[in-house]
Amino acid sequence: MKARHWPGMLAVALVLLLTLAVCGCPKPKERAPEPGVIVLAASSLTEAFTAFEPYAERQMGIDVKISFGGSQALRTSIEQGNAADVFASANMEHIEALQKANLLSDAFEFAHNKLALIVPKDNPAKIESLADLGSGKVRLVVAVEDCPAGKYTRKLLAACDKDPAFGAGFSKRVLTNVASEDADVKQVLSKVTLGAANVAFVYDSDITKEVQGQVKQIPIPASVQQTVTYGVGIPATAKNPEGGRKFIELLLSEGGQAAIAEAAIIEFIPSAKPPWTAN
Amino acid sequence: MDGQLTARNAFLVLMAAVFVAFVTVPLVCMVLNVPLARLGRYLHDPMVVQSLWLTLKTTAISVPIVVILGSPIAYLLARREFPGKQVLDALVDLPMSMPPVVMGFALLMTFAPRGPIGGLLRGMGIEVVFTTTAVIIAQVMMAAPLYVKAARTGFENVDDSLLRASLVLGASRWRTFLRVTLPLAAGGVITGTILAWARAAGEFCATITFAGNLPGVTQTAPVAVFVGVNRDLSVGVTLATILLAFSFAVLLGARILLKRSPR
Repeated sequence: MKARHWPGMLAVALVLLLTLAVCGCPKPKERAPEPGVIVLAASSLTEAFTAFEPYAERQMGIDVKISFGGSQALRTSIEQGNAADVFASANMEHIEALQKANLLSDAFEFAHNKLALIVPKDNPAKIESLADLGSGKVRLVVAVEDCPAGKYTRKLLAACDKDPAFGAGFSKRVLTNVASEDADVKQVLSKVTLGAANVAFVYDSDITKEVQGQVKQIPIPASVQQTVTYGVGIPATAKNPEGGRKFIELLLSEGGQAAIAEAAIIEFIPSAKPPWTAN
Repeated sequence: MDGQLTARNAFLVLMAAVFVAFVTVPLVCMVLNVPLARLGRYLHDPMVVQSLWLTLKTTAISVPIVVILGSPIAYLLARREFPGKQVLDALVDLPMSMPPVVMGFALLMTFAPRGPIGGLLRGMGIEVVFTTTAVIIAQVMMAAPLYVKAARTGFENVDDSLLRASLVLGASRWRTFLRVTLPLAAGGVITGTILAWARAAGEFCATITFAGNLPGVTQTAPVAVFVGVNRDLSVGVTLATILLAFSFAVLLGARILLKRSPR
């Protein structure tokens, strides 16, 4: 009779053990530092950093792993304790928030980007200017407000409201034409290249040679154009902060920029200098 | 003999506990992150209410479509032998093996104005991408294989001799199907329907890729969770917890009802 009880006891013991495991779950285990460099980078840096990766690996002689994602998602992963040696964000806001929480050091602005307004090559909605976005059967796709591309898009529209050329209420009219808010800028781009959306806001850096064949760019007046600022820094979760710093130095080096220039459009800030190299 | 059985049970209980832990520990860790103090406010958040309501509405359409489209093929696979059956069988499972994002892009390439069907529909003035219809199409696509698998098992369990008896006793084929086959296969059909609902209600990646994300139109609860996580982790976690509780209630409720109703 007694023997029958022990599966039950075992189950109870296991549940207790699990409770302990649950209580312990926010504590990440200590591990030996890995020799490689782990980079978290905003999706809009995909082309640039992918082109740069082999160069960095050759120069440093170690494995570089780059994970692309929305800057907000990457920031969240650092806040959750995800180990990374470099964080490159398409928005200074995330850099500053991490700095404030003591989760990022050695941060500085390193590159600029602009917004681009694109339509499919055949331009089915016959959009010729930014002003056309407020009228007719326009199916606009933008990035969600919480990712940098979406934020800059809304800032641009707000700037239009203040510009007499567009008139107050312009942004409201445009936003009623939004067919979808995509999670990141690459998703937005794919909606236009596949012809699902007939206009979208992406980054200048997204209009690669390959994309150029599929889309047409509509000029954005300088008065409402937004300057996108990229920041980079070393997360507190870094296992190889030295490697992270080296990666950033190489990124700003002549050789690094040459490797990138072949594959991507990115406007480096000429005066950008890592804080640790400053005298 | 008794002792042997107990030892075997202990092993089963142990393995089951490992499985239960595997499923529940991550979920418990997530629920522990819910900001309880702000829960009330989130429950009235338009994003939460709207996305849950949209999930209910779309699955109320997609699941019957899955059942209507999936039952004949499940019956065919269960009860008929024909050349190319293996191929058809593999084809039915295919959407399950593909990453949902690929299925989303495949649907986008089909229904976008530049795609073959999208172009045709556009000629008729019908747009699919970015509409609630697209959400339903994505749900049907991803949920159908689960339904077909379960319903097929149900149809396979029907004893041929009972069907012959019914036919010999003078019932028509249709009447036999309704009064003999269907009740006997009901377990599989209902299980399949529940699984299809769960899959459709949780469908995210194909939906956001193909249908997009627009509150009230294509932003279902899983899509809202994803967008919410990007906005503020606690919004995402809260919505996910509501979705979790809701799904569990539906899955459990369906099973209780199934057990109560006389077969």
